[in-house]
Amino acid sequence: MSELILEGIFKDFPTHRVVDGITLTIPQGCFYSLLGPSGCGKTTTLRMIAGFDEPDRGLIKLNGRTLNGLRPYERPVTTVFQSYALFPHLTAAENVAFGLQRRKDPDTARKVRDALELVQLSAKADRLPAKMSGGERQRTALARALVLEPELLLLDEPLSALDPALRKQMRLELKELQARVGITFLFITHDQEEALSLSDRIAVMHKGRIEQMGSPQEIYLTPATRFVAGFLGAVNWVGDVGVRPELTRISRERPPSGMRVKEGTVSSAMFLGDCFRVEAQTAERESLVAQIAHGLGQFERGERVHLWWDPSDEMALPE
Amino acid sequence: MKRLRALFLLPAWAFTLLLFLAPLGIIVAYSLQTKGVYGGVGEPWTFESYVRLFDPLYGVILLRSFAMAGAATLGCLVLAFPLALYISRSGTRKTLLLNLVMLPFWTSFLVRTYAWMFLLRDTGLINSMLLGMGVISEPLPLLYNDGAVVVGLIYGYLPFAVLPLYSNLERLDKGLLEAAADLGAKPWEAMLHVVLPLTAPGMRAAGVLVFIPSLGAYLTPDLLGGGKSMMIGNLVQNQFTSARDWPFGSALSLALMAVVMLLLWALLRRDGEEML
Repeated sequence: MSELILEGIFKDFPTHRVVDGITLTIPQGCFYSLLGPSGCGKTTTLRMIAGFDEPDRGLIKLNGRTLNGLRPYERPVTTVFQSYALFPHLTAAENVAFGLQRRKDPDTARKVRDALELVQLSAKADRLPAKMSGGERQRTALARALVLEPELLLLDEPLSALDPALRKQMRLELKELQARVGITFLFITHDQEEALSLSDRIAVMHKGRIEQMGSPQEIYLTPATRFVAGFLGAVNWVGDVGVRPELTRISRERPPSGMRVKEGTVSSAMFLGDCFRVEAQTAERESLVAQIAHGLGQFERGERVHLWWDPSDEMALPE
Repeated sequence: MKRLRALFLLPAWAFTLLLFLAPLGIIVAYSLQTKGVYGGVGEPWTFESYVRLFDPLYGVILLRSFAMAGAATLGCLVLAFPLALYISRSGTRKTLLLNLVMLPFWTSFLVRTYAWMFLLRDTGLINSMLLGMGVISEPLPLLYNDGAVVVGLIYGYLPFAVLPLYSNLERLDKGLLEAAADLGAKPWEAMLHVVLPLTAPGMRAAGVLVFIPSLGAYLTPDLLGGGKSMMIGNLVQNQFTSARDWPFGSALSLALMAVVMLLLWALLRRDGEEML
């Protein structure tokens, strides 16, 4: 019974349906991501779980208890907000203490100390949010939500406000943190790389529905729909099948037998640092991309080439 | 460039010099002279008026003024906070409601104060209604006392408290209230621990805007206090009219100004430009 269950959740906004029948189960201790483009309903789903919005239909159950109708302050759920929503008049330690003080927790001082230590912020305990870096704010928001030992932690695009280098580092820390505290994380993001690298399970959302649920590998390698395939990464579409550019090879000579082959003319060749990205046009005016490692040759614009891949790498997804 | 700037500033400087600094200089000069028999001032130059400021008789009036202005300020803040909060959450009706708050400014303050007299006097609306319903058998003494003056001050300066509080609450990030609720704060706890502390600058601004004009109020205590409830503004007025003591009236005005500036400095030192 230790889990979050969403059962047939619907939510309409005045102009359109935002959440269109979502059903999913998140096991206890899981790092679960809701992945989708902006406007797909993922944030509204999170707000309904936190209690800021009520679903028009459907049940929200956490560890056997129905959350529908409970006020946000009555739910055993805490949130790390996209903009962090730190209280600007309170220091890091006071922000972390806020929830404990509402509960009149007798152990507040120790728990605040431990939580700040957990996110490596002990040295900045007395700092106001205005004097913190983006990463420090992020850690404070995490500590503030985790210190209450929620049954479920909601994270609303918590890394999107950070610069790229910091985002990668925080991603690692977030993953380690979740493993250490063992609390169920529901992570909302539009960044597929983030979702793939962090999650145990991913649900891909599109237009208020879940398109696919599964492990990162399943979602990436065997997408259920063209939307999922395209949202998680680049795809070369050849009729009803797609293949990832990193599984597409390119050569001047004829490839070994048993491979699927397309002939084309190189239309662009780019050096991306860790690989080359070569794009070629086929006679059927299909544009195919091959992402190849160093040492697999260099190609010039206008060159005639063969593009090929192993048929077992194909994703069969009729339009 | 610099010349041009000086040129554009000229009207403002002329205005300030002629209409503010010059009269202030005259008042300072008056306060240091001796009163004439029929008003006016004359020789010799003396500090006597300033010495008289410390007469306990006037000290009492000064303290009363502070108490009444303080009560009016408190009353305004208590009434204005929920009102400003309500307006800040009224969506498309905000502009309408703000205009309603400012509507009283469209008529003369004097006329509006007279209206309060018609409400509060023995044969006024409130007493005649209560008498008519048999709730009371004698008219309540609503007019010509300190209470009436404080009510009049609150009425007069309430908009000055609503506006800064509104602009403060309007700018408050609604996400902070969600965060508070998320962390287990009931609505009243969020109000107490998040909204109130973050509205402190608005409270200070509102307090200053109500307290200072209340302290120097003259019309309201004169009409609603009926001469029985004297504030420092009335005392100043008396010195220039019936008492014919211009030097002392000037010294009183300057003392009031000094007190107000001291208060402002103490308050503004804290949030500096953030408030202005």
